[in-house]
Amino acid sequence: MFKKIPIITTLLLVAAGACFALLPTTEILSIHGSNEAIYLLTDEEGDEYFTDRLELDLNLHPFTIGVVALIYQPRLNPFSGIAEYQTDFSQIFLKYNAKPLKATIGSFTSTLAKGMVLRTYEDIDVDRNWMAKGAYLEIKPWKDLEIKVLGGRGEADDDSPDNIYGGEFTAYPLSALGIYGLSFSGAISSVGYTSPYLPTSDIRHYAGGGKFTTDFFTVSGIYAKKTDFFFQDTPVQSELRYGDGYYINAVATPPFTNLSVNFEYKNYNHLGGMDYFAPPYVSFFEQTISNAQNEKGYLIEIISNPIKFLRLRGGYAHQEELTTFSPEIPKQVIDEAVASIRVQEFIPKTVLEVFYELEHEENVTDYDRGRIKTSYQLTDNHSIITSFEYERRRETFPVESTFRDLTGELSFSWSGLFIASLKYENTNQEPAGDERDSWTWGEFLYKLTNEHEISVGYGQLRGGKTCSGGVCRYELPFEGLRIRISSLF
Amino acid sequence: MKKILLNSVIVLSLLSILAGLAYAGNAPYFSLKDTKGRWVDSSDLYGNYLIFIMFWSTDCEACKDSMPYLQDIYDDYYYEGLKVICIATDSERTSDRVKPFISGQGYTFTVLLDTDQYVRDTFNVNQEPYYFLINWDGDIPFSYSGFTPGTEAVFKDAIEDALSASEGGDFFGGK
Repeated sequence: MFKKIPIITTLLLVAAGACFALLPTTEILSIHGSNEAIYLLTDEEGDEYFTDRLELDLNLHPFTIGVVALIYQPRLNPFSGIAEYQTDFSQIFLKYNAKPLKATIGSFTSTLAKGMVLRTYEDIDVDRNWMAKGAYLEIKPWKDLEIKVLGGRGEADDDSPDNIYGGEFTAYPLSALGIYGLSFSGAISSVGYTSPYLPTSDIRHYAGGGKFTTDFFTVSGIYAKKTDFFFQDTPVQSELRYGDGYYINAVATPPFTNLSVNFEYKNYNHLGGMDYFAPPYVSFFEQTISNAQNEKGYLIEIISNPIKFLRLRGGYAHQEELTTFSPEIPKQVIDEAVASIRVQEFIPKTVLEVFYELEHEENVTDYDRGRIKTSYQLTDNHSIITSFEYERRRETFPVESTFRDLTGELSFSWSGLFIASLKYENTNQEPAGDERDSWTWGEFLYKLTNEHEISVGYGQLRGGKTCSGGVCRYELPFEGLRIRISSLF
Repeated sequence: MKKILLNSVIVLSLLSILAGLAYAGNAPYFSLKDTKGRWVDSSDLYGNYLIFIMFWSTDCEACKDSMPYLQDIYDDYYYEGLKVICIATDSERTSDRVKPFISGQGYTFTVLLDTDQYVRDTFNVNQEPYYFLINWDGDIPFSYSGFTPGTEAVFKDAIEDALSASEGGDFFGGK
């Protein structure tokens, strides 16, 4: 019976939504939602997959009742490659949002102390659901104080639920003088994790920090400490483990210039652990070391728009392990650099962008990627975009080898109402199993209205994060026909 | 039974979406900080300005491609009461990159930080960039996803329509 409650709730909400949507809108009552339906038909086996994600909010100001329904009949899991049948409700919530209180009962996401103390989130594209179900409150009792409090049950694993509690305050000590640029904050969290397979653990994080902002610069810093009561069998045999970390950020924006300099520094010594703790990366490449277990590093980035048609960006990041497991194993050391130049309207109706990035991991790999992108407006309503990308990876460990990938893309847009795109990718990497070494994908997107669009694509998709037709999404590796209908209402 | 429930959800979803075709919703309330740490409350904006909102993030290239055009739109319609607001949905991990990017590019429109994606969820945005125009009645007469060069003409048409419908919004005064 209880399992049917969310289904019945959704049915009632969707039915109510359909009815309310037919009524004239009012300031008190409104409904918003989005729906994305994807149909896949694979080339070789003829397998069919259908995925639908429906988000629906019924707004009775200041309350909002919402659900997110996921229907996989089945879904092709992007990681396991296995077809999964599922009709699920990833979120059900009641929100209250009016000064000075913001409250959620049900599913909520939250971040405390930049993720150094807690981060609950959901990312369907990467198959992660680290949300919490419970209560979340955010209150501003006075102009100079903000408080967050939360408590709930985590959804990391149905078999081993997590108890999550936390809170954060931010104070503005000079607000009485009209200065809101100076603030101090503190945060705390507790995550109790019980697993039938692993020893019980109780992880606590504490953090304190400050921020000072003016028109010309910003400086902020956070220090966080972790204690992990790791119970072997009983509390008597518990082991108390520690970790800590700090993160510093400074941004300079000199007056009368379109120039900014960003500096970030991190030092994370066993601060992380579970995915509930995810501090800033301080890196251009998110896939580099970032689990807050044993790393330090810095980043410096300069962005400038010296003259109207010229936009420049350059940056460098360095990060390395704090210690290694054994003196024989060298530390992981990674250097990264990016640079881009964008020239807009120097040649009328034309945009040219050149981008280059380089990554070097000592004794392991060299990676570089370059991209040239142009767009040209044929008329006020028609534009054409070309993109050519080159990637090269040279691996020196465990075996020396060099790969290169090429990607070319051509898109034609008519007032944004109709977009046709053709993409070709090629690699010289030795295919594993029945993988291919080239991919071709053609897609037509048509906007029925501004809020409703349908796209039909055919060919082979390599998978990963791709930006096409002006929208970035995570794509599954796939061969065949794909139809997608996306709506906002 | 499960199949009936599933089919019911699908049918009702489609019904709801079809009903929504002719629907112009009331804009949701929000309260967010800008890149200087100041709170911006939608109740101070709705009714006083014509508002053009973009949901974006620093890793969304199409979003950043559209910003020079949004700056032009902001410059062109500022004196007719238009506010351009770019809501960055970067998480706490990457939100420190927002201010350097905006300042370095010299953009002067308002940029707000939605690090918990609370407002993005409130607007039911499922992809980026996503654009909304909110008129002086607090309604959303126009929304749009994606950007390619030329799309700015669609934005300008929507803004012109909203200005015409308001029978002449005046500087800072709305209708």
